[in-house]
Amino acid sequence: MDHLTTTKYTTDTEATDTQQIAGQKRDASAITTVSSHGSSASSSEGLEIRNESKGEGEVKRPKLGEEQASSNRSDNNMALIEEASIQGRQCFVTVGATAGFRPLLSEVIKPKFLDCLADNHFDLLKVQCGEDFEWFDEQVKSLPSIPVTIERFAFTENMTRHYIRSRGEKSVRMPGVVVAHAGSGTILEVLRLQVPLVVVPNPTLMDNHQAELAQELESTGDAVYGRLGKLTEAIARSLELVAQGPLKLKDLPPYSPPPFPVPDSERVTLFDWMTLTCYPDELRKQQHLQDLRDVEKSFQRELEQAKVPQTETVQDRRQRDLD
Amino acid sequence: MAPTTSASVLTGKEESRNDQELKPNTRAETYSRLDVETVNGINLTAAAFVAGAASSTAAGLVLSCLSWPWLISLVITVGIVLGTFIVYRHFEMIRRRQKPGGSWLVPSNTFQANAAGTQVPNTTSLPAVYFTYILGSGGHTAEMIETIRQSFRGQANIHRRYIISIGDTSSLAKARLLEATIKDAYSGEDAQAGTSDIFLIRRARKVHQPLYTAPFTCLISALHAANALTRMPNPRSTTDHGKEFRYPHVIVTNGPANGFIVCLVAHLLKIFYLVPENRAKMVYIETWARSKTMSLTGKLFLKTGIADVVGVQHESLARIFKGSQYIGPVSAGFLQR
Repeated sequence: MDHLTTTKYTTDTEATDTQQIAGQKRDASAITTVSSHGSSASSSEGLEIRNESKGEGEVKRPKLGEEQASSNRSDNNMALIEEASIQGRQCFVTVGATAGFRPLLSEVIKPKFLDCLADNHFDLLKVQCGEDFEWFDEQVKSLPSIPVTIERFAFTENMTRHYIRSRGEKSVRMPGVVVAHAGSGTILEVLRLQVPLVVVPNPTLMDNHQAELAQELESTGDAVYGRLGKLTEAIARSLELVAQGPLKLKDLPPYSPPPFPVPDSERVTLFDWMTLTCYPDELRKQQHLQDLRDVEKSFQRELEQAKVPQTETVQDRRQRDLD
Repeated sequence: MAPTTSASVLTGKEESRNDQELKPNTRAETYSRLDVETVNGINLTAAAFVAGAASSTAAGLVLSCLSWPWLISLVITVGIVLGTFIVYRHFEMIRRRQKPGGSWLVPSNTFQANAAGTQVPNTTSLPAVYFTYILGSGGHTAEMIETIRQSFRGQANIHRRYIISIGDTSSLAKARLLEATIKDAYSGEDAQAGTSDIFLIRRARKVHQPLYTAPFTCLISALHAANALTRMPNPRSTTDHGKEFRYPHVIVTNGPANGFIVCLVAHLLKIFYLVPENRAKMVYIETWARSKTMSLTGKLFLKTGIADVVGVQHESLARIFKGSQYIGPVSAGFLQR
């Protein structure tokens, strides 16, 4: 990735390069940014101009392994680059397809946020701007310095592949983050894809239930509640959750779409039962069968418990009572 | 009936125009074009539905030659009679439904997805299984599609009907994509996937539409809804069990306003004996996003008691709103809680 660095970032990277974050390979992009000022200053500017002009539409970025090594690199880092290239972190910001969300867009290009991304070894900020695309484009062009590559577009039919770019997969990609408006469709899809999520309710659209949803997700640990003005904290918290959280979002197997049709044991059967209510005889028969199966199941469970004598925990007892 | 026929022709034209608009949008991954049902001609039930309205207005016009006091008293009497009839039928239907042991009752422990080993309710031996899904806008459609995916079973006796508002191109595209996916999953055994069609109905009121035209557009919308609910699916009309496919078994909606309107129309059809009472069971599914409050449509369904099942996807909500039932995370899919 082409990076534009400041002195501050360089020093930070040096300090943390030799650290090992549990179980994670180091982001090769962090390594490429360790560049001396004199020689690469002009080339950085050249890069800057190129990036700006490629802003519109969606641009394919080369994988990290193809980047040129900088002379300041330590041997440790050199070894990592020569290993299989791992895609770096992406922060994907989406405002949805129904309404604009300018406050979110303006916050993600503030220097504070961009620096936070850079500090946390993100190498790409991708933004789906919706109706504010032209405005956002201008804002980005007028930025004095850009620590992280910024891609932007207005709408797309296929959001899935952008979400997947932020998905943490073992030996393939570092987990990034998706910063999304609080639309239920978006949230469900991101959670289904197992991508770290920060939910930002829109205060102007809020009819209370957006914040309610974000709060609920935070309490169950499925996502982070992102408040406008405090997004850097949200990003930090998300990375924390990924590193130590129970959802195991950093070493996932490569994404494969779920099977369709859904296996019988996991199907939703509500509509079938309702259809059966239109045929009372059939309904009675099926209910009878269902009761028989339930009895059989609980009987088998009792047998198993009798075979393996163990002190029953309170939960087991409760479960048994429920059945 | 001049107004009604022109309405259907209008819809037909708009229909085909919509198709033309949508063709350039079909994506590179070619999915077979679903045969979109064009609304040509009204079926008998919808005709009866509108005949009542038209004849009453005609009668009113004829009687306008009467002097004012007679006219007013006549209108009031008719209004009272009709109103009483509707209210009485409404409560009678609800009472019959709630009677324990009635054929409507579904045991609550079967709502959740069955654990491994339990027999899934078997509908393969039924003569017909006919679902009607009402697709709304944006997030509603996404959740509905996921719900359909989670509940889908490949059976030859299934017919799926999608009711979509005219102008809602993204929902139309999603429905087509879903049907194409189903077809792919059962490629080679076409009959296994069942049949499907799509109906486009007019919105009750477009944005910026002047209010004085609202009652007329509401009526037209109701007419389209009645048609969508009672029109025999084309591929099934000539089969053995064709008659069983006349009326939908289950109508599923999850939130948008047009969902409530279609369900209201279905309820009225049942009240006036135009649709048998043991058909057109209605399910309202609250969005997964709501765990503490209920949306306006949900509250409407609860208050009016139209739906057979008002389903919520969080237990906390079921506890707060009496009358709603916890049905599990049906539109989330990935959650096995």
